Amino acid sequence: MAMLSFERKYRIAGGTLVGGSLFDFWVGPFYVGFFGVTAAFFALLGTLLIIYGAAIGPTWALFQISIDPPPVANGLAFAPLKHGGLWQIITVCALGAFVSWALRQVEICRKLGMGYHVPVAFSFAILAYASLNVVRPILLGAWGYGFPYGIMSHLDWVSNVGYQHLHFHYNPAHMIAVTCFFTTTFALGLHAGEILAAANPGKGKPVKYDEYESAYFRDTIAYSIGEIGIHRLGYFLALNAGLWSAVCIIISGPFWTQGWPYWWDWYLNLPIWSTGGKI
Amino acid sequence: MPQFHTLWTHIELRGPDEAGPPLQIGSPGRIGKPFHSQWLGRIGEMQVLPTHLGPTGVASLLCGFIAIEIIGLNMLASVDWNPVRFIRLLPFLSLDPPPAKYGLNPFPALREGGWWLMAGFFLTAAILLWWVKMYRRARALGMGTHIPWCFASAIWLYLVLGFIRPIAMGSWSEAVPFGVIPHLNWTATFSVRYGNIFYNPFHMLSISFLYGSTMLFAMHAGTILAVTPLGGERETHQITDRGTAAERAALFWRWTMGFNSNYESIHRWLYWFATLVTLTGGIGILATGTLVDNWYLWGVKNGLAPQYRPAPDLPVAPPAKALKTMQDKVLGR
Amino acid sequence: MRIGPPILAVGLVCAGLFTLFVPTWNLPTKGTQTGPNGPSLVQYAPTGSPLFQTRNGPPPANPPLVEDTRPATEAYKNVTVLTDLNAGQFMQLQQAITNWVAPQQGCDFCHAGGDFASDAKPAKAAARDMIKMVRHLNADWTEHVGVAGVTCWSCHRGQPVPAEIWFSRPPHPQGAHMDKPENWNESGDSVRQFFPNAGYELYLLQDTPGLAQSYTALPNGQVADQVVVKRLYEVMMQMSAGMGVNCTYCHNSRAFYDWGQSLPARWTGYSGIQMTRDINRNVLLPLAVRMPEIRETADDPHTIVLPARMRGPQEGNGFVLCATCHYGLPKPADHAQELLTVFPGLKGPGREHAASATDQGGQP
Repeated sequence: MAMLSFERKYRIAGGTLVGGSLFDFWVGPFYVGFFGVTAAFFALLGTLLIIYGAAIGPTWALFQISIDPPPVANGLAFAPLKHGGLWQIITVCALGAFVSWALRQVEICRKLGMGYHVPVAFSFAILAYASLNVVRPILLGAWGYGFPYGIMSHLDWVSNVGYQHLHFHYNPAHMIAVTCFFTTTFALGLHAGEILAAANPGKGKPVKYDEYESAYFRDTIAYSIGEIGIHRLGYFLALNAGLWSAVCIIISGPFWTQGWPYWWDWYLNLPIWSTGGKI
Repeated sequence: MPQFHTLWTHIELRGPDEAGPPLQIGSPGRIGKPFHSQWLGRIGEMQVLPTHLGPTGVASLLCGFIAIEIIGLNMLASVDWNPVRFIRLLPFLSLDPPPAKYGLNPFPALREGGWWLMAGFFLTAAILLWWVKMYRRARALGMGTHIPWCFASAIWLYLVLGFIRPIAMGSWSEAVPFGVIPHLNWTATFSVRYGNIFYNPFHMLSISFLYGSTMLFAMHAGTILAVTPLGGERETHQITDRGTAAERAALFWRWTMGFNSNYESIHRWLYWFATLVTLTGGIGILATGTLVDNWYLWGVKNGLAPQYRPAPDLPVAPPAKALKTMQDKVLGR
Repeated sequence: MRIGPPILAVGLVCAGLFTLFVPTWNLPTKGTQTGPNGPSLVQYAPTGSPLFQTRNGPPPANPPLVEDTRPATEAYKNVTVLTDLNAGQFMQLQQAITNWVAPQQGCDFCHAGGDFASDAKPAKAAARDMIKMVRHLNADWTEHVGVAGVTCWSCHRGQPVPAEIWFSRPPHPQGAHMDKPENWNESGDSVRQFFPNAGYELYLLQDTPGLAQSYTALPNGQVADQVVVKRLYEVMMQMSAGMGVNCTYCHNSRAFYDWGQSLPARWTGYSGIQMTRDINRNVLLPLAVRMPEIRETADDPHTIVLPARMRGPQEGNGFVLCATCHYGLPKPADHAQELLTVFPGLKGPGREHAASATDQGGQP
């Protein structure tokens, strides 16, 4: 039995969202549930379709395999399987698998009496994915605007979408998103280092607790946010990184088609600048 | 009725100030009278200060102040000391490294990068002194030195960008300018000049760790917040004395993805993801221009670049004859 | 009543309203695919900048053609450029040029009051250079102007000096010991005009090789350093802005240098850069030497020589860039093809032919 020593007392029936007790069981360490079945179905189908797409494609080189969306001229219609249809079905599978996974996390939270923080956080990642491959293509009127499924081809896509706006670093939402990514990682390094430092003080020294953790940050940066606070901050920063990533790509194309540097025209023309006379 | 919320603090408790553990004999005392902020208390602890500056802290702040003064005054000088222009153009203002003609000359003319070198020196001194301070405080409090080493990884990237790579390339002009927009322009130009940084494998690793860090922090923070009603946020306590919060947090991931870490090992995952962002990033930057000149072609050489179906009327190359005719016309031949 | 939440809410609403209404957003426009499927090679319909849109109106009505089949050289004195026209065509073109270039100033812009044969005004010599240039472009630069061609209207659009030009500028005055700033065009209304034009001088006037990326994976010492590449980036940005297109109109950005992956428009664009250099080096640079004289003899130097936006600190000489003719569109809305059927005198001959004709005619 793949069970931890304390696991048996937590494996109780109930807490499912749909299906009652039908799929309310475990396979090895995995909880199944109705959404486990749907997640497995979508994930398996999507993966097999990617492999099929690679098989009918020009290469088996892992980095070069690419499942392309339909051409822009195809609009929002269904495309023939070999010309973007695969991409469309895989996108449906991906969304099906992601949403099933999130709902399965909800069921597990209910079983364990936990808050829904993890599935909520995951839904921000799903939102970012859906923004890229569903919302933005619909706003622009063609599935061809979605990114291709391939290791290097999606990077080429990112490159070209960036240069469609001449210099993507000037996108204000991209600025916020990047700042959130870096700040999250910065806070993560501080937090993880702190816990490890407290729990591993070196041979022969006692493990330290919150008094010392707080003192370390007060001594070095004048403020310690505290044990619960750092997790709130990290949660907030990480979710904002996902949210603003979604915003930055949604506005690129549907709401702004020119170079991002030129979006800042309003800044050069603020009326306050004329206070110093004509510059 | 007052309630416990996981995402913010509803009832802020105000107890006696925490003075911190006793200091070692001979150490300078902590400074600053503690005060409380209700806004900070909404998400974290209310108490701000006292802090422990020590000689390295004072020296670091001094160096940092000098660096910012040099940068700021140069920017102000570049708009003829006009405060309105200064604020208007602040995002665009720049303090540039010396031009290529100076190579690695440590004493270029002040107006041609001399100030940049000086600002870089003081900023680097400030950062390194701050590292010493972080290290010494960890030791003084009898804790591990994990944070300083993670910080060292970030310093590695900083030094590669402004010091190590310019030396390897033989010119300060390769370094990043100080400035908001100028450093973004530098970044974009860097990618174009070296043939698409997305094909740099260390850039790929760095970005993966960056996104991975963000994902892991969301997973970790979400898990901890979900078990705070059970006392799950007291992580070191849970490490030494596992409670039901730790058990549920572990089982959540075990049931979700068949694998779980524990309260201590999750922080090892987090620590390495955060540390590797700048560690791999620094390697990628250092290899650019020194070992590889065009990352796209490097990718082609190593079988990375996908082939796309060519567009119907894609040119193969400009017609050589037409090119010559054009040159003749331009040069008046 | 706690004040925190209401303040936060009001702040957020203000930030939201600001973001919605202060920047000028574009609503979705149709895009077209420019290259192979997959990596998003897309060009959105050009929205152009509002700066340019006012310039893209129709040209003024053509003046009537009065039949007069005598050669222009016989009917009028001192005709040196348009020698291949008959007198009727000549007069019609002269009137059209006035409408295109100096509608407010009229004939006196170039001609010294009443005496049309006089070469007293230096502006007249400049106009001759310009006519020669248009004929040269139409005859010798079909790589870029194609069958459509160009006319005076293409750039001037009713103004003595085209609205979109750039200036070579002296270095910014600076303190002896402080860092020097970029040469931003601070009087610009748009970030389009704001960026420094140091790169224009390198790439649109001087002979700087446009090599931004290495042709080999490993270092070979061929490519310019990054500071110069940044200038090329700025030149490319003005090109995009001037034509209302983005980088993927011509390039597959994963390998900018690679012609094999570039899109057909890149060839037209490349020849456009070369044509711009030809104009700047061979026509405008010689003209620049005579510019102070032209300004001094003009009736109102400022209104004639410089558009309002450029008056003041500008000192150097004006040169052209992509926007000078394109005004924010990939294909200029200059109606040149229709105009050239009416004014065949602008079609040619090219520079070589014109030069040899002058030699034979013995005209200085």
